[in-house]
Amino acid sequence: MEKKQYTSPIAEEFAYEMRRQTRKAKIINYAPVGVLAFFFALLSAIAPGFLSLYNFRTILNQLSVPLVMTMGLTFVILLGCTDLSGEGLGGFCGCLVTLLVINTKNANDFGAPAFLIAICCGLAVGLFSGFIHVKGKIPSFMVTYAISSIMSGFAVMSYRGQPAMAKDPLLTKITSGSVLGIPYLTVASLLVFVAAFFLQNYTRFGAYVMAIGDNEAVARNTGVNVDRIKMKVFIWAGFCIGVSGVISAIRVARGDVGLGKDTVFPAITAVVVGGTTLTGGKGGVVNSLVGALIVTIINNGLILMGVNMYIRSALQGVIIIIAVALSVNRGKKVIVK
Amino acid sequence: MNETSGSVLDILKSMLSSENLSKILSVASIVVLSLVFVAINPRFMVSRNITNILNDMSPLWVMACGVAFVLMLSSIDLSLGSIASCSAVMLTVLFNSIGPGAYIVVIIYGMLAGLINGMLHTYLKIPSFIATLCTQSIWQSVALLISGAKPLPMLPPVWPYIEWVKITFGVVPILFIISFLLMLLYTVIQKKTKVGRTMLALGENESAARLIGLNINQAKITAFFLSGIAASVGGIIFAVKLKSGIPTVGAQYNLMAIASAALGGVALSGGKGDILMTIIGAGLIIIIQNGMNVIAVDGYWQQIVFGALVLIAIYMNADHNRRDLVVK
Repeated sequence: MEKKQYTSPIAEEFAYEMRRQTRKAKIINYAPVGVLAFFFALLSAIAPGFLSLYNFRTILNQLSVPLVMTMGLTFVILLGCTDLSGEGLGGFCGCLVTLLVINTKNANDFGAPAFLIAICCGLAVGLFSGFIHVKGKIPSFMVTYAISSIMSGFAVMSYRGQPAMAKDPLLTKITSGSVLGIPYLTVASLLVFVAAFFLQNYTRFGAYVMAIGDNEAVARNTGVNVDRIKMKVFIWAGFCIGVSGVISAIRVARGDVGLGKDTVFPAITAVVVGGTTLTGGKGGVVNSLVGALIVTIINNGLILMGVNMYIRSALQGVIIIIAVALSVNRGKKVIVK
Repeated sequence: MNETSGSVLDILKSMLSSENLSKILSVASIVVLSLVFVAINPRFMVSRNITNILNDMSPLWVMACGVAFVLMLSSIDLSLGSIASCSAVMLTVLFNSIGPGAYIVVIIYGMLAGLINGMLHTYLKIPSFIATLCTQSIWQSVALLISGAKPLPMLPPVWPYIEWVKITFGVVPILFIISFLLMLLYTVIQKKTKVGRTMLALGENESAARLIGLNINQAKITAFFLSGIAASVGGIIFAVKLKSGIPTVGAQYNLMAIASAALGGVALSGGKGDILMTIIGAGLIIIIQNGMNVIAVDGYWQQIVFGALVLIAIYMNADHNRRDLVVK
């Protein structure tokens, strides 16, 4: 077959090339699962106490925030955009929740609706950044970077001098409860995953997001309302950031602006490691679930091995670089900005 | 005082020559804000405060000059702040072991950090914001690791090495002169060298620049390289000014440097900009910051104001006429 390559008709050569490409695409599709299995095996072998029921519960707990953040970010990245606002916005939503339930700062007692209010705030800010990005034609990473700074300013404003501590018994009830051994907060994050899965696979919205990410000009010319879809994606991202901020606030029961601090970077790592390309149009929420699992178990393993937290965040940077470098289209004509 | 009137002249000139809205508005707001702050607190215009403003402005201006090159390519450098923090920490640590040679080592570090950014971006084709976001996290971690996550003081034995910081010429401190010289050097590179012209060309239209045979990769790497040097110089200035290596000192300067460049007329979509004009942006930002301190506004407002300022500045420089433009 190899020897005949030069003499074979073009059609045959084309078919061969296509087969080669699908094979390659298949391998790339399953690569994240392989990576997950590899790290699972590796950490089971070298990290003390990794393989235990107690640790699996811990992993499930640690998974919730990155998973929710990742679900929002996946759609944004599928468009080819980026959302860096999680740091400030997540912190803001977290601060807001602690101020609305029974706390040390004021006399509010909204109970569970407090969560809803905070999430709606996240949603509104998402809409705002989407609007500025679309209507102002400002690159999304820049908009969200600036919004992040603005929102952390507002978050710090919420605690004059000292962050609010939540005293609501509701929070302890939520953090300690579980269904079938799965903590409530993780269940919530899994629900967000299911919603994202539904959005991506069973709605027109999901298909449009893919189409825009693949080729925005074509999508626009076929009559897709690109601007509106983009704004919806940012609203969804804002919703997810709101949920993740609320989850972290419930967990630590303290309205700290730092709640959102180390959430964006792991989320981008998870999305990219899961196989969603930064240029858009390829990947999806299932990839991101695998990515979030990879990031969480690596982090968990490194903590168990007693690795310094600063080394951990540096490692995440290296992982992103490697994952992006492996997944980018390195054609000569591609322009990367 | 010199500075404000100088930029007023600049703005009058640019008003006559070009219709550059953001520059004009920036200078106008410098003037108006200065007046407002003086009205609220007359101490704003005391010569000590002017020296203060110029001193505060120098690291920001240096970093803005560096990032302006990268923005002209329509790329971005988010690692500036971390490189500056890391430089500040390294300088403090190295003073103890190698004395004044630390200055050179730190600048070499800045060059390397810039080169790494440039190479990741060009050779591995990683989008610049993600590449520099990663290096940002890496250098921030390095800075925290070296310093043990706490500010390192410069001890009395190394004070002779930083004695020169106190020199002032009238109201103009030497740090400002240094940043001015660096700005001059960068302006020459931008205007008079082939690499500098190539950066603008490829920011405007990369395919065309490639087709006429310009050395794209060289220009891109040089831009990140210059940005890295500027960041490390910024870090050195922070360290000598504060007499300590604070591992997070540069963190908020990412956004502020980008804002300075944008307010000075550098478009984020590339191909437009002038290193010289970064002084307007840096001046405006520092006047806002200093003025807020002088009239005693809470610190968290600064984050909100600067975030909003970046958006406004970029919006004003963006090209709204090209409908087919795909902005990601």
